[in-house]
Amino acid sequence: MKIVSIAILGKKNNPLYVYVSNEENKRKFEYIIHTSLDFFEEKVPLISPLSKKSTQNQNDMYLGHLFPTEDYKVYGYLTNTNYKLVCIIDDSEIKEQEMKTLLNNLHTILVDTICNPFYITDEPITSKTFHLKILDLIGKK
Amino acid sequence: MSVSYSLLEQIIFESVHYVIRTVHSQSKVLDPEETNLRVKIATRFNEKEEKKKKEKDIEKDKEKKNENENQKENQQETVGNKKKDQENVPQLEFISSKTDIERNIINRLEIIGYRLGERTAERIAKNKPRFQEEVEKMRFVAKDIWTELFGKMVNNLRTNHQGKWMFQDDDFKLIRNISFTLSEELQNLNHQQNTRKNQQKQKQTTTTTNITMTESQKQILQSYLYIPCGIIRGALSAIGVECTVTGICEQLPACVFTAKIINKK
Repeated sequence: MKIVSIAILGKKNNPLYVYVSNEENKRKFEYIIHTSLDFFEEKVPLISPLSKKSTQNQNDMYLGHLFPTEDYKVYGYLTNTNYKLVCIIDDSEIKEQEMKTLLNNLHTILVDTICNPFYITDEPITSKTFHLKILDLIGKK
Repeated sequence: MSVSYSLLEQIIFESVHYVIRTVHSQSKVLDPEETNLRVKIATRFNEKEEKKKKEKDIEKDKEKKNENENQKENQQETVGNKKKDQENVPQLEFISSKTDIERNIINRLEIIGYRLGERTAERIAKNKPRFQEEVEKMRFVAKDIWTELFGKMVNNLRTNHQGKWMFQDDDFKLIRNISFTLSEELQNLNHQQNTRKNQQKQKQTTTTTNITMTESQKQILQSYLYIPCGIIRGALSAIGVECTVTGICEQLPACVFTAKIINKK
């Protein structure tokens, strides 16, 4: 399983951080992330009061139709404070639990960055430590 | 977490003391900005002598207060000034008329609280289930944020069902241990105001543990409430509720914060 892209979007759907494992396809992934925004809005009202994150957001627009050789699965995570985390995976085998822990850890890292007093909210995250932590997180998988 | 509590408290108290020093300072060493302000006030006084009486009285009081601060002697003057203060607008006019410096400081304090509230809310909301209604969001602030920052919950949370929410804390941690030491002039003024008020109130009030305050004391206490107002505003805006927050302290440990929700339509 390979994580192809991770993105963090702010409250007004502005991108705060985008990580792409393959720089060539950056545009494509940004496009995918953009389209996934609709799914966030769709999924939110369906959530039961007890669960807090939007469950797996398997993008039904299987990009198979544009790229017949490749599949992508897009997972979404909506925090209580309206930050959206998107994770694109380049594989078909992944356990739900793994993805949940991954996004949970991502959320923790995000909260740590937000608590940084030098970080101005709603601005792109440019911290190197943040980037290194993300790479760590991905590197483990 | 206990270490971070004391740091947090330190930061809050230091910033609030900064306000107290700059806004209500009666020291001889004045900032150049303040001296410029006072010069401006004096020149304005000269220009507007022929205009409305109210403005004239206020500025006269300001000048007299400045003179009192700088000189401190001449009991005849103070007596004369006291009498005039009682007759005309009392000294709290100076404190309550918001100069640019005061507005700036209030703004900065509020922003300190705002950032604090935002970040605390992020951290705590991570482990909470999703908020479905406005009530839940307000309860989140009243319970979780308050316990995290002040070790206790808000005592009373009320609403008028039209976008106004009131957080009442009967024993607000940041102002619990405040006692007032004022300069002689203010003390005398307050004493006279107090004796008048007490004569009226003695029949009404029973013994309470809360300290009733004079107007000027309330004005001073107001400056301690800007940071918590910012905290509430920041926490709510992190959850997604835009509002304006004001704080009032009627009796010393008890204060009420009112949040008015801004509806964007």
